[in-house]
Amino acid sequence: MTVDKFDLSKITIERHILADEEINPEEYKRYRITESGISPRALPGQTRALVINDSHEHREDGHITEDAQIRTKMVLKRLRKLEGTKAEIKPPTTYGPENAEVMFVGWGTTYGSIREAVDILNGDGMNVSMMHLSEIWPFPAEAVSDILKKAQKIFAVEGNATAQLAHLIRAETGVEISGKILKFDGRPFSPGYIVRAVKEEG
Amino acid sequence: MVTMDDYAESVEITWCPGCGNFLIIRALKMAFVELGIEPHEVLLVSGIGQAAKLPHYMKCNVINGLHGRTLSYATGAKIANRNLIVIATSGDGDLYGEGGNHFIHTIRRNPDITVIAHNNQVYGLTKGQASPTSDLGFVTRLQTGGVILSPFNPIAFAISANTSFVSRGFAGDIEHLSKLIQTAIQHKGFSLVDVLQPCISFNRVNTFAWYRDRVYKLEDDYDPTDKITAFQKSQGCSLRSPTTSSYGGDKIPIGVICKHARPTYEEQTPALKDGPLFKAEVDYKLLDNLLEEFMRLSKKSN
Repeated sequence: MTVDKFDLSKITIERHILADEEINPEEYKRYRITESGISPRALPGQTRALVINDSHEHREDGHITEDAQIRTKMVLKRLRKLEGTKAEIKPPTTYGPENAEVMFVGWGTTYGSIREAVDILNGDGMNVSMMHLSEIWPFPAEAVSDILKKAQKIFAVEGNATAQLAHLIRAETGVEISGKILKFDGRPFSPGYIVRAVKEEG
Repeated sequence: MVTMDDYAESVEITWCPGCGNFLIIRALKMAFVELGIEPHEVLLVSGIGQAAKLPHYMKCNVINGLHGRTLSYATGAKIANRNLIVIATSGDGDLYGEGGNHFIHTIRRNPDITVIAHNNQVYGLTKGQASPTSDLGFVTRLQTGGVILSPFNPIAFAISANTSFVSRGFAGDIEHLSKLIQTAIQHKGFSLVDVLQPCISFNRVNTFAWYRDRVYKLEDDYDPTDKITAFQKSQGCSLRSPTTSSYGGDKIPIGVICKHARPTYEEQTPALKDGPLFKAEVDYKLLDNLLEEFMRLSKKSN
């Protein structure tokens, strides 16, 4: 058993669907333009309100349109959603000593291997830390920038051939990560792989 | 009292004047009025194509999604709210081409939905390429030497796949088509209404006149529960050699071609028995029992 039983009492369900009494069938519009960019959501068949969903550009009522002005308004509406999302995006997590000489930067499933590599290298007398991102868009540029500014030598540890996160970090923060530990043989990272790569770099 | 006007929507219609779609949408509205179905009880689902524009031209609930995915949306909606009357309006491209895989497996799943295939034997929205139901040898601006792929016969296929309700209508006979759609809606399970629909812009072969010469109504004593006869009907007159068209031969039957009572997906899914899924409450006790059982079994296997 690798995990404890989930604590069901701690679950809160966020449905974000209008309650029946909140819906005015005469006025309801599935893609109503709002300040937050989020349009209140009702479901087809929930009340007498008609719910119209379209995969093309659409009017506020959901019907297809090619009107240039509506198109512009709808694009801006969707972009405004990102502003709200920024406040909810998870900041990067860090592990290891502050002011470490070497910092690993990774994202997603590499977390465990990087963390173990940090422990091994610090046990060997080095001074290593890590920063990890589990959510990358909208990019938490300020938080990432603050952490990386304090770092000395940085390595991007990524399971792809082109260091995609390093590329994104440079675009969003201006920080260039010169060290790269990449793996793209279709197999997951192991802590040993990271440890050996750093030691080879000297 | 529901009227045709209740289904009138203020969206500019971009079908060619004279398109068979105008007749199909009228037949569909007539069917709703005849059955006394109100707009908020209906969900029209479509993918991409000229037929897929239809839901925008009617006042009711709508999902107009991605190309070929019509039946996935329709199935999902029916599962989320089995009280909805779900109608998929799709073309021979969207349903039998891009959505061919979904067509197979939605038939197997058998949700209680009605599928109207606007079958004009050509890709109209993209200006006239051959579709899965185009005749062998059909010349288009893309298939300049004529179609060399064997035509897909939707009726024969649907019969062989045990489709609960297989029927064919003709856009040129609106009264018959409307009645057929009513029967399909009332039938419990996956109901296919393949509609022969002339495309006046890109199919100059299979015209209104061409279909009128070949279409006939199934006889009153025709038994749609006999699969062998139904299959013969789907093959037209040439049973001994491969057919060169999606409708078989020169005599094209319209009406209910094959039907079987089959339990629906909703009926066979215990979680759906208490009504719309979106109204269901989370049963934490049940979830807790499941977790307990999982923990117990994991310990045992360790």
